[in-house]
This record gives sequence, structure tokens and C-alpha cells, in this order.
Amino acid sequence: MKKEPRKLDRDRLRGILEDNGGSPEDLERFNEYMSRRGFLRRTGVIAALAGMGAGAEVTLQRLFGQGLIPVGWAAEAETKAIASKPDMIIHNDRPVNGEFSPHLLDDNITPSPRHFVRNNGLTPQRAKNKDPQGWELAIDGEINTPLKLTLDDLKKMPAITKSLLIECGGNGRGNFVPKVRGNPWDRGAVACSEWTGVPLKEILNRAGLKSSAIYTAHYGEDPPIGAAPPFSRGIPIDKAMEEHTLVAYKMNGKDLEALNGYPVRLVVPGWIGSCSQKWLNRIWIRDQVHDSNKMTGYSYRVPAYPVVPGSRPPKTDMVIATSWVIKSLITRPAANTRIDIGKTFKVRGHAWAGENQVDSVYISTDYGLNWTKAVLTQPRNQYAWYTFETELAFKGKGYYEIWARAVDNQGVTQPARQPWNPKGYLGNVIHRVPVLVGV
Amino acid sequence: MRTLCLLLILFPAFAGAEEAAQNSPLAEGKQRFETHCGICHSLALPKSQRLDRATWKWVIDDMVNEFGAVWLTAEDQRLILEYVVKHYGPE
Repeated sequence: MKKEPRKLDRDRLRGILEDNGGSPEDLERFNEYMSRRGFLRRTGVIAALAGMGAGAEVTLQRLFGQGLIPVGWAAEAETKAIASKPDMIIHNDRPVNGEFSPHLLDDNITPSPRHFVRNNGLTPQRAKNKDPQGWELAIDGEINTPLKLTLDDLKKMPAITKSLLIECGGNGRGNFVPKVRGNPWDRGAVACSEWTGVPLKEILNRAGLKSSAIYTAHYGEDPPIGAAPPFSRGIPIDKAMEEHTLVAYKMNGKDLEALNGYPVRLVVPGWIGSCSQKWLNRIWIRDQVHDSNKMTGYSYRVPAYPVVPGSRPPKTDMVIATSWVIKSLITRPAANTRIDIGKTFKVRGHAWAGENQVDSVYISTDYGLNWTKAVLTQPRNQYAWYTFETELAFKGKGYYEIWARAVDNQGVTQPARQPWNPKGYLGNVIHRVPVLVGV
Repeated sequence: MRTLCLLLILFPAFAGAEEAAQNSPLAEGKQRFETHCGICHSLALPKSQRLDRATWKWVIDDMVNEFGAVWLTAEDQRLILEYVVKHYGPE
């Protein structure tokens, strides 16, 4: 005889949560979720959990025992947060991961609604409520004076405002062949907004670095998904002390967007985006290279030498990915624009080079046989992107591609084919924009 | 409470382990994929992937060993692997 699965009702679920150490905030979130109407339309995870039938109670106990609150309950809130970025191409809504089409990134200073989002955990409640009460930044470890700074404390310190480029380390992953694991970013997980904040070096000088200090370890208040450990990365002290590395509390002159790290984030320009910890609440100064799970193994690491596409070298041959490499993005015209024969039109875009300077940008319309130099405009400060522009006209009808290739001050240029690494980091293959002429 | 009961009616495949065992391995894999993988992250992420078997195995191992999905049994992992290799393999 078949055993009738025990039905899980709201009270039983709540009981399991409570018995397994659910925090008051979790219980509140649970109550809120379960009391809403329109519940069925949001099915997804909760349906799966409820639908586990006989096994559900055991599974839930395991989950809650891990400290896991089924984050499906937070899915709706994440969706609401995404509403602040109406044009974003969403790769994933829990955690939120989204980018923008290149033609939407034409501005020299990226407007906040068009700054990409790469979340590893959930958006913190404080960020959604824009509530700075109780937020503190702790500085501890290899320093003389541990600090705890409130938002007011930070705002009393000398601040600077700079245009700074942040780019997800996986931007361009979608162009790797063979395909690699992870969000398949195309080219739009990059932005250059105007950030205001206190240089991290001012804070570290106040705390007093010990001679043993060699690396930072960053922590934020975003709840990890599932039972994942907190997301944490770090940078060498030299980069932490570089004057453009900011503890930022304003983005384009306003409070940070919830999805971009309200109230405070690090901005480590030119380096892969994961260094720029969002919802920052602790910097631990270490006497060794930070060794979280996001600093070791295959996370944010690339092979020390070129590898066979599709292969995976041993962990010991992987090195930490740090600064970005020479790169460019065509923002005008948009892909698949129709252009009249003989009509002159503008080609525009941005170029950037990690720790280096951009020397020049070249444009080709014949698959890379001939290249002409575009006009390059210098950025207003280091680590902002450069802008390039040129004019083109096509004499005959057909399908054409506009290619851009930047060169840095070391003579390094972008590859025509994407060199491969197992997790798809630092993709910088030249950008090709297809257009249709006279058709 | 009513909605949860409704869910049990609407998702009969989840009703009990004994019923589930009668599904084909791929149907069972689909069910376990949707149930377990969707708990921590949306399914949009795995569905956007086109990976070979070795890479999928690597991903699932990481979910268990690095991301805390420790409740997945060896059988869960095997069935999920077969399902994603079949449906989200290289194009």
C-alpha cells in the first residue's frame, strides 16, 4: 500500500524553519512570503519544496540545518530590484546577473540604470530599503588600530570623485569556444560610472598598516545563496594603497543603487570586478595572500600558460586573475543597423587597458585585412575608459562587419580569436558589429 | 495552506518517492534537476549553459563540495548529470 505523503502546510514549514535555527528575519520573510496572494504564479522553488511530498520534511531539515533559507522566498524581491534597470539583459534573476547591449553603453559616464550587475548572493534587505542605520565598515587584521566606521564617519573623511571602470572578470565569456561554465556574458558586463568615496589608502593609513600587511580580504553583507560560503576576494596591499581604489558611497552623484552595493562598495578600477566588493562591511588585512574559496582553485584564476581549449590544467598551475587587458567596445552603430549606400555615419566606442594606457584604436570593415586609425579621446582620469570615433561610408550594398581593435602603450593588442581558459575570464577578442548596407 | 495543498495536486510527480521511482531516468533527472538546482539559484543559469559531460560533472561536484548542496545523494547527482548532459550539452 502506498504511503500517503504528509502534506506540508505553512505551520509545519515554519516549525521546521524555527527548529533549525531560522533567524527572526528569516521567519519574518517566511511569513511575508506565505501570506501573499498570487502565490501560485510565483511557483518555482517553493512549489518544488512543497511538492517534495514525503521527502520534503527531511530535505528541508537538511537545508535549514545548513543555515539555508530557501532563497526562492526572496525571488520576488530580487525581481523588484531588477526593475531599476529596465534595459538589462538578465542572465539570471537569483542571484541577479545582467548586462547591457553595447549600443546602450555609449555614454562616457555610464548612467546608474545601465551599470551591469553581477551578484553572487542575494541583494541585502538594507540595500533594498536604502537604510544606512546599523551599517558599519570594520577594518581589522594586520593594523595598529582596528576601526569601525559608520556612513557618517566615512562622509567626514576627504573624498574624491572619479570616473572608474568596473568590468566583470567573466565579461566576454559567451565568446569562448568551446563553451565554458558560468554566466555567458557577451560584452556588456562593463561600465564606467562616476564614483565618489574615500581612497582606501586614507582609511588604511588611519588604521596604521603593520609591516606584516600584504593582502586585503573583503566581505559584504549580501546573504549567500544556498549554503555557499560568504563571497570574499582580496587584492595586494599595493593596489589597495593606489589612490584610485575607493571606498565609494556615491555613484553618479547619488546613493549607490541597491544592486550596485548600497550603502558602500569598493571600487578597484582596472581589475576584475569581483575585487570591487559590494555591500562592503569588513576589510581584513592579512599577512598572506587571501585564501578564500574565491581566491583559490579555479575561481577567478587563469592558467599560468596557454592551455588546449577544453582542457583543465591542475590547480597548482592556476594563478590569480588581477587586472584587465587591452579591450574595446563599439557602441555606434548598434548591431544589425541598416545603413544607406554612400551615407556617412559615425562609428564610436570605448577602449580601456587595465593598468596600462590605450595608445590607439583601429577600425576594419573587411574582416581585418585593412585597418584605419580612429580618433581617440583621452579620459578625464586614469582608469576611465577612452572614447574613439571615426566616420565611415559603404559604397555598395551587402553585409559588412565593423571591427575594432585597441592597442595599449606596451604595444599589446586584442586577439582576432579568443584565447581559451577553463572558466572564461578576461575575454578580450576584438568586437565585430554586423551592419546591412542598402538592403 | 490551501495553495500548498493545491501544489501537491498540480505537481503529482513530486507526490512521493515510490511514484517517482517509476519514471524513466531522464524524467527522474529532470525532476531532481528542477527540484534541487532551483533551491539556491534560478534555473535560468544552468539552462543557459552548453557544456560537455566532464564540465557538467565538474559543476555538479562544485555545487556539492563548494556551494553546500550536501543534501544531494550520489543518485541525485548521477540522475541530474545524465539529464543536463542530454539537454544542455554542446550544440
